[in-house]
Amino acid sequence: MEDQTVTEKILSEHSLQKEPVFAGDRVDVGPSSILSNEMLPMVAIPKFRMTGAKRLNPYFVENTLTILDHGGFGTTDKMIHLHQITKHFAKLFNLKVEPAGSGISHVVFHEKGYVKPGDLILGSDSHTVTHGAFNAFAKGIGGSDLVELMVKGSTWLDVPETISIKVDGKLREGVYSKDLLLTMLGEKTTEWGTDRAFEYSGDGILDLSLEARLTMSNMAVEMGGVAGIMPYDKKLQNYLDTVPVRGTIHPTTPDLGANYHERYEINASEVEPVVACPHSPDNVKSVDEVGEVELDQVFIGSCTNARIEDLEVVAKILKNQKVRTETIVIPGSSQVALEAVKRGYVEIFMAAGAFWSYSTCGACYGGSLGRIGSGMTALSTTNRNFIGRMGGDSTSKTYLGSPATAAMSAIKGKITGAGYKK
Amino acid sequence: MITIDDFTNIRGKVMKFGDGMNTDIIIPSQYLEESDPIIYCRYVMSAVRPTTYDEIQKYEDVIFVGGKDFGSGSSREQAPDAIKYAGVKLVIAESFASIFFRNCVNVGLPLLEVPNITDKVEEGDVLLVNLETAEVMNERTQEVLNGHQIEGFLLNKIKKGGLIPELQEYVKLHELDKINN
Ligand code: SF4
Repeated sequence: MEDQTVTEKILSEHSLQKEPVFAGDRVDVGPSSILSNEMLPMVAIPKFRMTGAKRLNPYFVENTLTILDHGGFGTTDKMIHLHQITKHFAKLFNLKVEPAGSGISHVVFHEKGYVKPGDLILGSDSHTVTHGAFNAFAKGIGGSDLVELMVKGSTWLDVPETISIKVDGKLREGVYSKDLLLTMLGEKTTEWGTDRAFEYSGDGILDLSLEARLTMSNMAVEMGGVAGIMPYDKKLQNYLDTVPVRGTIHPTTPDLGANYHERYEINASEVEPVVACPHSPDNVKSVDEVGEVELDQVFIGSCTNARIEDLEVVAKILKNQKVRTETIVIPGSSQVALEAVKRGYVEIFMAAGAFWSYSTCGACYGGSLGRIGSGMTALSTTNRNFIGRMGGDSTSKTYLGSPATAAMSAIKGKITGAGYKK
Repeated sequence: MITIDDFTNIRGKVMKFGDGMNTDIIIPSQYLEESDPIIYCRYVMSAVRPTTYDEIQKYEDVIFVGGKDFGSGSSREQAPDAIKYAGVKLVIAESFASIFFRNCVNVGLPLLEVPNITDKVEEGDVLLVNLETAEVMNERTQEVLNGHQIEGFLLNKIKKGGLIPELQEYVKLHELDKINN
């Protein structure tokens, strides 16, 4: 058989026809697991009713986890109503739901063991690509696609071409995987991966922790990609050993002669701390280059950078310091929150004057807890800084950076890199 | 010669937008709590052009023209639904983000990729478009632009009105509309 990329192997494995597929083929697939969120009550349930179906496909019921992350807990009457609709629907059809406050879907999903190497994951959220860090093909889908899975338990995919990203070298002290990702994004723009998958490899990737890899897979979608797949290794296995994984794992490597659309290489040791400037994640400048930017708010959270390792970085910087800017820290999940409490990070955050909250998407998409207003400037550890994304209007500005940059900037009240020497 | 005698031919007036019209611009998150597209479509593109919805209602048929990476960002299907329910007949852009493209097909909103369209078309121009051949004629300049043809599989889905009508047939065929099994 012809050599295959990881993408082609995983899609072949999950094709209903059980035939090897290659870039350019169209394939019917049954995903290993399905992620859903408020897209379910907002779009999918009303459209599911329109199909006339009286029952859910058993495969969907078995393999779907719905996590109410976007709306927050008891925020608005309409959101409360949407959450109630979800619970009723779930009860009726035996669906599993994680209630508002339990965490952000792209953190909870892997904590609950819904992702493993070789999986095909589909989720009604563009950042479903996050789970590519588990050596899986994970892709965001829309509300109607979710309805198709609810009815048929399967859907179709176009097998994408793949771009290989090889990272050599190690990140220097004070530089993080967020900086690495943003650096590539600045160079290659948000259109880079349109309709294509990314596969990461190289010593520089293996050197990263799983959490640092999750940040990079998460933002594969900002680079335009449909997936961002990481290699399988001991670090990943160590994590899998701690969660209730469903089924057997299938670590997947590319064949030697696999056909890549592009082979991109970057040396991690040359990367500096950077921020993405308003209003696009590819508008990237080094922290030094960006000049004096006074901040009205610092936001540390989201599916990109709110896992325990991110909070550890923030805690180290905020210890015995005071923030000069309103700063809000939102943990990635209630499990992350509990760990942060145990490790004493929450005490550090609060002593520094930062606000600490239950877990939700929060202001990341302008939902709740830290929306910004007209004319305000924020630095955020999230993944998008589009006009109005965190609230406000075209006069509101969001800069994106690593948790370290966010914490140091919070202390200084303006954009500042953390402990990095050239 | 392009005529407007069936679905694949669309004639409409251009409302022009720039590059990077992401889903947070197309429909900002604060309107998503409303599940009914007839209501939230009023806020379509309001982040960059607050009068968009009202303008669409004034014209007979409207075609959105955008630049690069139209629809990047979130997987929210409310983005194409907002455009569709506001009354827009077609979206032409230089390029589309992947999930947005598929969402358009799924909700039955016709779309076409036409390189350099923003250089060739002005606000208010009237375009005659053949979806089947991906030809776009600008009535003002009489120039015919060639877009990327939409594959038959996807064009058929758009013609049927998207995924839901298709699933309605599936449900009937497999008797999933009956409660007993
Ligand atoms: S944290 Fe932000 S990017 Fe992640 S799922 Fe929530 S809204 Fe989307």
